[in-house]
Amino acid sequence: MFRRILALLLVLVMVALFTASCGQSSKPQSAEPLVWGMHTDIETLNPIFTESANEANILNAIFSTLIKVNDELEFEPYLLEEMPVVSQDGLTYQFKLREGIKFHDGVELTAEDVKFTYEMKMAEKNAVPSRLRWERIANFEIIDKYTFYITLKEPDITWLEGWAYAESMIVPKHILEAEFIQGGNELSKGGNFSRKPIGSGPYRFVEWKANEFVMLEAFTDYFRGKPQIEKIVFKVVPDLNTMLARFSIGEIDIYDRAAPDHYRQLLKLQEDGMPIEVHNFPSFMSMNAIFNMRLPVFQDRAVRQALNYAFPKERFIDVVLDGVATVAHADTPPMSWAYNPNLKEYEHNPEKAVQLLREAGWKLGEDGVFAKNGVRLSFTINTNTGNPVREAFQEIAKQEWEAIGAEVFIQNYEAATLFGDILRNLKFDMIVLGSAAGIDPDSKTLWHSSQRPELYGTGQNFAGFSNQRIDELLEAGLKETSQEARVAIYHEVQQILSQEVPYLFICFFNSITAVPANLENFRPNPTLAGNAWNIFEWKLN
Amino acid sequence: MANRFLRRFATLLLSLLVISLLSFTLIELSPGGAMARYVENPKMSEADRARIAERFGLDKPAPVRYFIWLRNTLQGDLGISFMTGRPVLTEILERLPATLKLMTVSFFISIIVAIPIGIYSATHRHSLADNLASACSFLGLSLPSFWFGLLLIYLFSIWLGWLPAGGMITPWFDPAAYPLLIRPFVIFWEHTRYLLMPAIVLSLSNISSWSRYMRSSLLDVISQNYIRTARANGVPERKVVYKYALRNALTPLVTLMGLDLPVFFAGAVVTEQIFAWPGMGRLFISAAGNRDYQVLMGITMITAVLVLLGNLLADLLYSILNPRVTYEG
Repeated sequence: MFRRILALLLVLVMVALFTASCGQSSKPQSAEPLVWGMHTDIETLNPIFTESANEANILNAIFSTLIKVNDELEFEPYLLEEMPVVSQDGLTYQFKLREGIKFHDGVELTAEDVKFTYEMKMAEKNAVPSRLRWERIANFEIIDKYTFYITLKEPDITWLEGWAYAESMIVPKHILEAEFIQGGNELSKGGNFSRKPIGSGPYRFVEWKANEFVMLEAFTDYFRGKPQIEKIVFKVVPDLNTMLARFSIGEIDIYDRAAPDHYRQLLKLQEDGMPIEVHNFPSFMSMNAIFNMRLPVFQDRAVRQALNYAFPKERFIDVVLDGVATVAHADTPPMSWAYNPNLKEYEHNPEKAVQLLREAGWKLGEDGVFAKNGVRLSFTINTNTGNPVREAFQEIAKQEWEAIGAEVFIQNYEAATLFGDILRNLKFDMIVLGSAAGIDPDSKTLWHSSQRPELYGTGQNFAGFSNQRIDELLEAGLKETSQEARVAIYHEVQQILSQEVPYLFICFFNSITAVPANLENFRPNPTLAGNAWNIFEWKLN
Repeated sequence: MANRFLRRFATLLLSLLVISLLSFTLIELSPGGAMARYVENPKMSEADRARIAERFGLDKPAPVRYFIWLRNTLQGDLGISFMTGRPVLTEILERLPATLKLMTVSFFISIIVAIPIGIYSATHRHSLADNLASACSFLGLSLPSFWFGLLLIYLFSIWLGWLPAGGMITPWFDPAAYPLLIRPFVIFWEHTRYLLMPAIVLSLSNISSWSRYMRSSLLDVISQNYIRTARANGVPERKVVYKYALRNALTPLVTLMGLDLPVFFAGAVVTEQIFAWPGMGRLFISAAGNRDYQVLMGITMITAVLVLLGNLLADLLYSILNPRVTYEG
């Protein structure tokens, strides 16, 4: 009897598994969501508090910005009828919202919501990461349901760009106001709304499982028409090798911002017949080695230039980055309208490096290391552990620089130590970092002499660079409104930077993103808006 | 007995206090600090940083923060995570089920595989199978789990296509799409197929060490006088091994397993990373990377409580189960 029951059970299980697997394969293709792989966890889905690029991608689907910056780096109105009109003095912007835009709960989005977003950014003692651009607002005036004026304290040509990014997405007043009052006039980064967001974007929030996935579904009443892809899932895949593996078997559809050393393997998948498209596009991300110019050894321009000549930037890009990067000579990437193509270039030339050092009075000591007035050409390169590209730079640099008569040490720290201690307290000789430029070429916080952290505890001038002409140019660049005049200003800034080399400018990275071949309208966007900027237009054929 | 228990309990509280002080000091001494993530952000002013530090109470000196933390914890409030702005307890409870699920399954796999291997090795000492088992367990102990994990993924996900390479469940999995009759099996399989590989990776080192332990412990027992007596009396070999020897040989193994129990709560960092398993290990790693000391303290203290309570309970049970052991407070 017992055996019979067991046998019956086993048969049942087998039938069940068989039908289950059949059931899965017979599901229509369109029911399968599009899966986007992200390799870091997200912290909040409340745009008031967001600070990560991953969150920006998801928020692009759930929320809307007033304007967008497209893949050609041009601004276009999104929630607005047209681009805002600026007054003669450059202080007052007039905004006009489109009518009939609905939040996911059906309530209309109006000027009140925009003003509320601004008020939440500025609410006392909240945890908003940066309020710089919001603090520039002197007055916010609502004219009618759809029209509002914003007046700035002083003209700022870079101010408008921020409206295109996740930090400026419009939140619904009617929902968040209650949370705000309930929290003692304070919104929390981890409040209810941040785990169950309601926006006006093309996708509605469905589910978020921490460290696992965020699931969204198409919003029927989206103001530009319901998007064609029904469901989108953002999956967390913390290990990049697993990401590549899961992409290759179709568990992940979009491998965004792929590791540089995965580029060739992705191309190989494509060659082997996998229906994917591998996008390789210039980005605003760069990699630099910062000289600490407070140290005697790096005060000498000849040393900084010599180290530039002695480092093979092109070979580094070829060998370490599979060639998917561009050599940098200054801080502005080639795709920027302010890029200066005629800069001083440092082709790999060790002899010239040695010659420069000798001309500047450096003499080769008995220990094989250059020295001048008791200062030896000896220094340590720092970066964060676990970054193979930066570590490769260190290895190559050490080899090349020791060959011309420098003494180089390598010391790496885990990220929190590197940024929170070594960088912040300026304890480095040379530090290798990545940095992200904006569309606007303004770089005051990096190069202006007032932005040296040791002075007022503010600014990102970690190199300790101080140059009167640069200070003048950067100040003028922020006041000038004519683009032509600004081009001239920033060309000169780059000219000086490439001469003075406060950084060893290494390269501008390309971004690599692999998507399904049948994904239409995927147009990679190198700005902070991210590659999901036009997710409402995506189609699967 | 009650007196002793009370004394033991007081020591436990004191240990917890010392542990909390030590952990807090260690976290505090590690360079960088909770504000490190904001240093390089070019869009932030010093005023922004000061406001955030004040918001999270980071502007106060460390000893003050420790006492605030202690006061709140005693009231059952483990604080707020700097990363997500949510209560630490919520963050922990959200990851706990995933961790427990993975750990329990790998624990059972380990037991089911390790004990028979150990018994076989002990009863067939120096046979080919025993030598093979020895070799395998050395291999198992020395294989790095990230490497073994990737190997399994290449084998079962890419090459054979049988198992998903990561995650805990298909986000759009809907049991209602299947007929009622087979639904339980479908749900079971859905959970199992995600669980298998990470559980196997986690079991590997346990199986290796436990099976060796089982082998030597059983050999120890078998060489004892009462076993020889049993054999001399003509008790069949099966009965000797399974009835008399095994029971006594299991005791030290159970102690070893007990020592491994706290790992259940802490999670497995590397395995969770490779298989995108949303457990405690991942939470701990990102909290450590962000110097989120509230979360770090929360996880450390809950683990400490579990370890100490577990030990206390084990000691009590031991003295009840084994009359020869007198309980010393």
